[in-house]
Amino acid sequence: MAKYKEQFDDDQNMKVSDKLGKDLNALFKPKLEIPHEIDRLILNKASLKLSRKRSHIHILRWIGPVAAAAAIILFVCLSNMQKQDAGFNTTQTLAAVNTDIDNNGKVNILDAFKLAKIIESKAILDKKWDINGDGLIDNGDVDQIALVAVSLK
Amino acid sequence: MKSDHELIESINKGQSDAFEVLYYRYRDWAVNLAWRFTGNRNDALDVLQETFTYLLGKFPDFELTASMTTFLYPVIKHISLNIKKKNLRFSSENDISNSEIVDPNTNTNDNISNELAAVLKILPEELREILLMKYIDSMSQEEIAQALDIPLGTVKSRLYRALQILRQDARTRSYFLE
Repeated sequence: MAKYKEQFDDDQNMKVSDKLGKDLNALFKPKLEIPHEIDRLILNKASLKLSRKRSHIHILRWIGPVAAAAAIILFVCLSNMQKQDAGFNTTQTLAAVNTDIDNNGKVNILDAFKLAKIIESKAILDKKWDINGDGLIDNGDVDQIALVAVSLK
Repeated sequence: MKSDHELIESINKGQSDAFEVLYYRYRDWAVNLAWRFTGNRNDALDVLQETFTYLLGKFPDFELTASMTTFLYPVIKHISLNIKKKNLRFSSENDISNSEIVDPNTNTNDNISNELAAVLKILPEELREILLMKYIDSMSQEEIAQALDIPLGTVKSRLYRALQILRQDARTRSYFLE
């Protein structure tokens, strides 16, 4: 088959002059006037359609960055929540160590009452009672003890 | 000058001015090809519109894997034949093989062209189509094969047969180099 094709390609008897192409063009290429209205119609249609598509493309172009931004925001929020949880757990751990205000070996709501009374009496406050670590010994620490006392394990 | 592929890339991005360049690059060729199939100016203009509307519908995800003429040729042929069938402007005996050829007197006074037109009329349609694709549309044999979705060997053999008929006919023998 390859040989057969080559035979066509190399047949010198089938070499034609340029005139064949020119005469064929003269026969089949009439000077058809294309009205400007046709051009305008087609190009207006293109302009309308492509501008619509461009706006879709713009929307599509924004979907990625917006989704990425949303993902970052979500990630940051979740991280913060995890940090807060971690902080809470640390406080809880500290609280477990320091919340036995009455030193009876148990942490219960009575420890919270005890600390509240000590704060109210304006007695000397032990730094270890800064349960929530805010530098102050106040109702926040009482609440923290209460929270530890009633938390489920 | 931007290539067709560069223009298509721009059109895919929504640039209508790139479409305009592509349109004017292929407009005349497309309308002449449509006229070859329909034999009617108004039908050819309808085909032109439908062809470029079809092309427009391909965007924004159009990927040109062949030449533009290879892509457009079957589109124009299909639309032309559909429009022609729909309009029923021609009698059944006046089929495409006859209607394709314009009256040579309206185009040229050259006797050789008259004789060429006469010989072309006796060429089988499938041979003439390939002859015209090569010498009018300047398509390579590979492009013709792709556009007609036929093997390259078929293109070569049909072209050979077409040229053989022209060579054997006294009216068109002068086109061949000795």
